Amino acid sequence: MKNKVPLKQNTKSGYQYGFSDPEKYEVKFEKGLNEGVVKRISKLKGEPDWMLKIRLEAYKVFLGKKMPNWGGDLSKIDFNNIHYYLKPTPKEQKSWEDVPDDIKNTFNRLGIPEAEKEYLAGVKTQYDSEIVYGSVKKELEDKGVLFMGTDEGLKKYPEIFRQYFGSVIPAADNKFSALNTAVWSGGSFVYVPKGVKVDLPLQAYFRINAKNIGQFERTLIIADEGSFVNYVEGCTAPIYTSDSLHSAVVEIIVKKDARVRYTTIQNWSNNVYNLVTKRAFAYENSVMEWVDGNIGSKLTMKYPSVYLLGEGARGEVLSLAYANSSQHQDTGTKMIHLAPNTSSNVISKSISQGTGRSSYRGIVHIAKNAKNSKSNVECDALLINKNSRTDTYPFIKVNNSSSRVGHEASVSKVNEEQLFYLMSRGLNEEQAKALIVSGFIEPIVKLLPMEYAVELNRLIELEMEGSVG
Amino acid sequence: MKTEIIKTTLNKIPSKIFLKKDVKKVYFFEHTGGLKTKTIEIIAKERGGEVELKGSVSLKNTDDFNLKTLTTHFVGNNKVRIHIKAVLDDQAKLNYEGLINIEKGADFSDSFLQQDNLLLNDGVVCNSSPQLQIKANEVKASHGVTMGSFDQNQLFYLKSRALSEKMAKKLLVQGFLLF
Repeated sequence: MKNKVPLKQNTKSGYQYGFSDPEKYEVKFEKGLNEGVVKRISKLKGEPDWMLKIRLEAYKVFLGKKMPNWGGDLSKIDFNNIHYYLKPTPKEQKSWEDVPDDIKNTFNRLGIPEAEKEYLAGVKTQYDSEIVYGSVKKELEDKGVLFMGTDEGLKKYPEIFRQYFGSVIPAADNKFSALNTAVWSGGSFVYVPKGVKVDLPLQAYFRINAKNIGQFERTLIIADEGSFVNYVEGCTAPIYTSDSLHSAVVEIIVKKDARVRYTTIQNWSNNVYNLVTKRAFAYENSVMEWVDGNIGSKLTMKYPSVYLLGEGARGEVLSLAYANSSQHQDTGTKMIHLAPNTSSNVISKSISQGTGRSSYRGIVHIAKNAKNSKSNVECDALLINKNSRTDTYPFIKVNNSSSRVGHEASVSKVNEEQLFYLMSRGLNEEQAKALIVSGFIEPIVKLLPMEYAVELNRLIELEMEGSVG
Repeated sequence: MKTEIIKTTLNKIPSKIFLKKDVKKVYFFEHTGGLKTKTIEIIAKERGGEVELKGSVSLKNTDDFNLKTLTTHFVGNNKVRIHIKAVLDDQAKLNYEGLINIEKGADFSDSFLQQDNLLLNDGVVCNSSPQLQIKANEVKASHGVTMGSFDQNQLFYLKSRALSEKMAKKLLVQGFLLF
């Protein structure tokens, strides 16, 4: 039986996923980043030359770019103190029995077998930079839906990758998309053919294990005309004292009349920097929905965006951010209207507790030719304690006179009357507050698949223990 | 509470307005172009005061105007209301930035910012960024921004009352700018 590192109690109330397996890796690079590391990653994966070229060019861009001078505090990130690649098993396993024990145990703790037994379509699970286990159900395969790790996708469908990889988020977009493009590993590749509706949510789990691991997964989702897919990701990470970096890139292409919903529940432990670039191109009459839940991490900077490129396209973001002490959630969106009759809707709910800080940062841009467009943004912030902090930084730019834009934001603390009412019904203050917070986030939680909704509510309850006083 | 109403040009509004205990200051302006930038700071270092800043900005031709309001509540028990309406025509450009900053300990601050924009021509550029930085939790703070053109129902109604389109729009602009 493998040795397990015992569950660590963190300062708040105990992080129930805070365990780690002793590190067992086939391949683990030393810390540090240089051109050699980039070449080794590409060679290990057996990639075509053109992908290596993309990686090397991106690495140069990364070196040249400055760190952003806005958002959270990035000053303590040391790029040389991170392992940029590791690989836990020789190859991807198709059946659960073949997966090594300690990795299986990790997934048991995360509840994956139950999920597999239930009605989920296919699960690709990632254990530190690699897709370890996946089983794509026959149903999906029959419909022609492609759902696999990005590495596998690149090997099997290079022509798709040549066309779409980096088309939504180029390396030069920002320092972290450049880093990701240079050292990306793992992630999901999804292609849904014309007219195909995937009713069951496609899921993937992530995990950061070893000290100072950078997670650089790269996801590419293409929904062909008239299709529908709901992709769900949720991730956990164990507690470590040195800081981890998670710098993913998600590119989504929603073609004419298609619809994509991308749901995330992020619950990294409080030492992780979560700096992610997520963007979708929405074409004619298509719909793109981001449902984004940010509970964990030390600092999250994430702005899932939609570029509305075709007439009648629609973008939606439902964002939930929870910042406890020593956490900073800096999240928001960019809705860029570049075609007529497009619409966008943003609901952002944030909760700050202890000394936590939660910031909304968003852009709504309506270009001159995006005539007759509409946009609505609503930000609500709840401040639980007197040292909690919330910010709102919206930027609204409109360049025509036929569009309509509305934006509103409000901040408050837990409503005294509601608190009094619940306490008069026998709940103690902590329970009452947790219930009120639950109600506050309900519009977003009800859109999540059930096991996520349950996990999320439980996580919030756990976070709120000890919030009184 | 003593109320002081100051109706003046935007140019003459002081660049720093201080809240004063038991005094409600209401500033009112109607700006029709001719300024490149204007920054107004509203500062609450004393408890118990109120400030209202209300005004309209009408820009046309190639007017290009940067307006900034910065409200800071260093202490609480006070109230600030900012309401700015803008009408943009031709190739006019407006850049508005409005920050409400509530510092730690400034409990019972009550701060609200509303910025409405009426856009009359596809050549206009309207940028608005209302911001909040809130470090105290016993507060009321909110903001809203709207941008758009005429309400088609209102326009139709006036035309059905025999007003020309030009006259109807003129009336709607006047109505929009009323406080």
